[in-house]
This record gives sequence, C-alpha cells and structure tokens, in this order.
Amino acid sequence: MPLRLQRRARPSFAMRLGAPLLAVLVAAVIACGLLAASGKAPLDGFYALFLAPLTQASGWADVLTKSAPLALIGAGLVVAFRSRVWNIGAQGQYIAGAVLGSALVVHMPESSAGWLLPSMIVLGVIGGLLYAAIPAFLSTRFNANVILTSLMFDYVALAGLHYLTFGPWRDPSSYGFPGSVSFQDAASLPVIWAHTQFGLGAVFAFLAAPLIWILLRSTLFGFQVRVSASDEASTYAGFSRPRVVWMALLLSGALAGLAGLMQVAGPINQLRPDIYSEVGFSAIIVAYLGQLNPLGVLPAALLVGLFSVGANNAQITLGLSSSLGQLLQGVLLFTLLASNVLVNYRLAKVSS
Amino acid sequence: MNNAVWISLLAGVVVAATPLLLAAAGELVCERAGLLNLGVEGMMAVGAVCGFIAAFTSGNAYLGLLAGLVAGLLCGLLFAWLTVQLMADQVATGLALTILGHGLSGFIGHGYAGDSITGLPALPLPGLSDLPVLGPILFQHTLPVYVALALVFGVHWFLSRTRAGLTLRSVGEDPKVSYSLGLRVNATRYAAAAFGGAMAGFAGAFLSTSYTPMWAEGMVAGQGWIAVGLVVFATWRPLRLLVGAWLFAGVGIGQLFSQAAGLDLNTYLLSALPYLAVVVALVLISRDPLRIRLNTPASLGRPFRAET
Repeated sequence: MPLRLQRRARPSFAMRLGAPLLAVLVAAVIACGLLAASGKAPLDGFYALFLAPLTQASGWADVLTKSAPLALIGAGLVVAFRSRVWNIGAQGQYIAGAVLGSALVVHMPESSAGWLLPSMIVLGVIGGLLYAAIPAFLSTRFNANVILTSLMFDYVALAGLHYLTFGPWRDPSSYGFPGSVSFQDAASLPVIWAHTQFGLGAVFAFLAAPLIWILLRSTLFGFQVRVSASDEASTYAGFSRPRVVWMALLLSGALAGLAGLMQVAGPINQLRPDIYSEVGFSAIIVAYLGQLNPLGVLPAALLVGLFSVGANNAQITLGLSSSLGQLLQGVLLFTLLASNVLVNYRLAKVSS
Repeated sequence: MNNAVWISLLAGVVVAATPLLLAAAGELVCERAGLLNLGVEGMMAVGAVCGFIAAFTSGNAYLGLLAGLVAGLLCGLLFAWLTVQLMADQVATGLALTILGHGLSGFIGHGYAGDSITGLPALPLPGLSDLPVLGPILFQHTLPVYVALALVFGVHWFLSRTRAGLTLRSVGEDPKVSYSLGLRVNATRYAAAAFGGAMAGFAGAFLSTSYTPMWAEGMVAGQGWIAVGLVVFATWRPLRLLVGAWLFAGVGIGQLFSQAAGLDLNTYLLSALPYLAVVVALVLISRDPLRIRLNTPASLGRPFRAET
C-alpha cells in the first residue's frame, strides 16, 4: 500500500521536536555508511566521532568551547531568519568583530589597563554591527539582495583579515608566521575551567539564547519579527519592513562580531588568518537545527560542537579527512530539512 | 604595452568567464522554473573533485568533464527532491547543498591534493582560429569554453523559442495556473534543477581538468556564488550573462591586468575586488525595484504542492 503526504490540520508540535532527533539519527547512520565506504570499521568511527569526546572531562570542555560561538551566532541568526532576512554573512561579521576588537591589543600590546578588555568587547560588537549595516543599507536603500551582498562581504572580510595578519599586524617576533601578537592577560577573557579553553566568554555566549527568547516573546520588535512570516499581516499591522531588516541585520551582526571577539580574546588568544573555520556556516545549521527557536539553538549548538570535536578526533585517531565535520554538518542539515516535512504533513496510506 | 599582451589578456578573460557562464546559465534555467538553488558553490565543488578523480584514474580529461556533469546532476536532483517533493525551504536547502558539497569534496578529494593530470587539450576551431585578433581571443580554447558560449545562446533559444521553454517559464511564473492547464509542474522543476546541477558540476570539472589541472580544497573560491549573483545581474535574461561574466572575470584576473599596465596594486585588495564588483553590480541593477520585480520569476523560492 503506497504512502503519500497528507497535509495536517495544524503543524505538529511533537514533530517539531521529533524531526531534529530523527534527523540526527539518520545523519548518524549516513555517517557510519561514509566511514564504511572509506574502509574504516563503522563502529570504531561512530565511537571516535560521537562518543570518544564525551568519555573525558576535557572532551566536554572542548565541546562546550566549540559550541559557544555557534550558540551566540545561531541565536542572532534565528532573529534574522525568522524575519526572513537571509543574513548568510555571519562569517564576515564574525571576522569584522575579531579584527576591530584586536586593533586595541595590536596597538598597545603591553597595556594592562582594566578598561582594555571591556573596550575590546564593545569594539567587537561594533565591528560586527557595522559590517552587517552594509548589507542592511544596500538592501533598504538600493533593494540589493541580502543573501548575495552579505555573502560577498564574507570574502572581502577574509581578504582584509589576510592582509592584516600577513601584513601590518603580523607579530614581528613570529619567525614569519602570520598572526598578531598573543594577547596579554589584560586582553584575554579568563579561563574558568582549569587546564581547558573553556572561559568566561563561553558562559556569556550561552546566555544569549535565553535573552533572545525573551526578546522575541515579550517585546514589540520580537512581535514584528514573528509577524514577518506573513507579508500581509506585517503590512496590515503597519510595521515598517526596512526597520525590521535593519534591526535583524544589526542584531545578528552584533552577536556574530561578539562571537569573533570572544574567540580571539579567548581560546585562540591572537588574531590569526584561520580564526573563522566555517563558523558562520555552522551557525546557520545550528539556527535551523534548533527549528529557528532561540532555546532550540542551545542543544543544536552542543550537537554541532560535538560533531566538530568528534571529527577532529576521528581525523587524528583514524586518519580521516578534516572535511568530515563539515560533511556531517551538511548531511545533518539535509536530513533535518527532509524530516521537517513531517511537521506540516503526515504520511498516510492510500488504497489503490 | 603591445597588442599581443592585450589579446592574451582578453583570451584570459574568456577562459576565466567560462565556469561563471556555465554555472550561471544552469542556475538561470533553474530559477526561471521557480527554484532558487543557492547550492551552486557546493555543486561546483563536487563537480570539481569528481571530475578530477575521474580524469586522474582514467587518464582522460574528457571523462573528467562527464563525471563532473553527472555528479552535479545528482546534486541538482537531490535539491529537487527536497524542495519539490518534500517542500523544504529553498534557501535552507541551497545552503545545505553548499555546505554538504564543500564537506564532500574535501572528504573524497583527501589524498588527491597535489596530484597532477594532463589537462584538456586546446581545440583551435578550423578557419575561425586564424582570424586576426578574434581568433586568439575566442577560438583557440578547450572544449568547455565553446560549450559555455554556445550554452548561453542555446538557453536563450530554448526559453524564448521552444514549447518546453514556454512551459518552464510558465511554471516559474505561476505553478498553480500551469498545473491547472495540465502542465507537469514538478517534472519541469526536477528537470530544471537537474540541468542547473549538471551545468554547475560541469563548470567545476572545467576548473579541475582544464583551468588549473589539479584539485585543491576550496578551489571554487566563491565562483558559484558569483554565478548566482550573475543571474540577478542579468535580470534572468541569458544573453546578458555574457556581459556580466566577462565583466566579473575581467575583474577576477585584475592582477594580470594591473601587472600588464605596470600598476602595483595590493594583492589582498585585488583578491577582494571580484566580490566587491558583484556587490556594486547588484546595487546598480537592483536600484530600480520595479525592474527587479518585473523580471524575477514570480514563484521564485516558493514551494508548490498540488492539493488534490
């Protein structure tokens, strides 16, 4: 008896929760298939990827450290995507925040002033915010497509980062390696889990999601975002579309910039050309995997963080490609999008 | 500066425009059917790695092109399955395809980086290649360069002069009406997505078997995204792709131009220029909202389901 899709009377709440779980299961099965196809024992691979990081306390710290920027950027992207503002330039905004925040350290590498770190944080936020303001301006003033402009500025940011780290901001005592000076203590966020990289920045990063949740639930702007799903409703309510575009981009850009600063002043501890490693794209996956709900972003970020720590682990222990983590994230987003059909539709048997 | 240098630079532009033209022509057809596939970058990456591996193992670069085309086609079908069959969000699915394509190409290409192959041979067109100036610029290239040029005119002819092209356009403008007229909306969209994927894969394979006969991670370097931008720049008209592709390719090899002109420009600035050029072009084209609204396929990005 063939199955076909039948529209549900209303979206299923159970499936909204269930679809990500189903997606993770299917993605894990596909991951094992990929491992088998590359000649590794699937169970060894599964262990290295998903379980080994959780067998040690330091593994947990790694997962939390990796997840923190994803949760922070992901929470901002939830607001943008719910507003139907496709900011896919979080990568560039992250770099802009890291660069602007680092500018102070590069110019006063000896300073131990108490105001240094707070100023860096403010500059990081401003960097991301200003960088996101460019696509916002081009969209509201010139009607230019946000997807394309925000993404193009990723590549521009990357070129700028390379210019600075290979050029004027390179540490003169680095034997020619690219990257700024290592940040002094006064310019670093304190580590709070000894012998790991888990620091204060990560703690604040995880707080962003609940704050965004409150913002969406209890403020006028949050309401405007939630109504954005329908053009008619927004117009009828008299909400200004340019205002929503501006706010969504500035907010998601500011959080991405903060995440960038948090990384260079935290686990990475210097401005390097490789600070980004696709964090912007992973955050997009986190936002969708959390079903565009700020609270959903937290477990989603932890899971994607686990994937990326696990993939590093598998690279070392099994000699697999470093792209495995990215591949798994792509597979996961696909299985999620496919599972999500069950939110609005049910599989029904039809006779004949 | 003498003429020979300029001629070789212009020939370089024609070659550098080839992957943009191929991928953008495919994406244009896909968008005219109402599907916004943002996965071009990922499909090109998959085409590049599959094309390289096929060319490396078989020793035949043409087989590499074919492999890239087939791999891209499969990616296009995957996109269509999600967005047409399962009505998944097109923006999200396209991004998923880009991420997946990057990861997959790194995963299967692991171990092939640094290998080299004999690239596609140049095929000077008899007669035409001996023309002064135009000959060396247009007619002394490898096969995909000619395919790309022919494709633009072919897509123009297909969309404006054939019944199938009319069907495709009407599906993109209004799937509901098309469906009620008995047109096969889903089949048309599947076919358009498959074509778009195949052309992106072919473009990727051109990069790894002809443009630079080698494979490296991240070698597509945003060209898929530029191709998506190119479709907007061309306001969904195939012939205008030529102007845009040559423009962006010219900026892309700006380093060679600036050297030829004796300018000493910052290399980092030059590497950012193509992306800035796309932004400037988009701003200039989109400034008039009416023009964009009149030219955008009306159902672009919207799922369609025949409610029975």
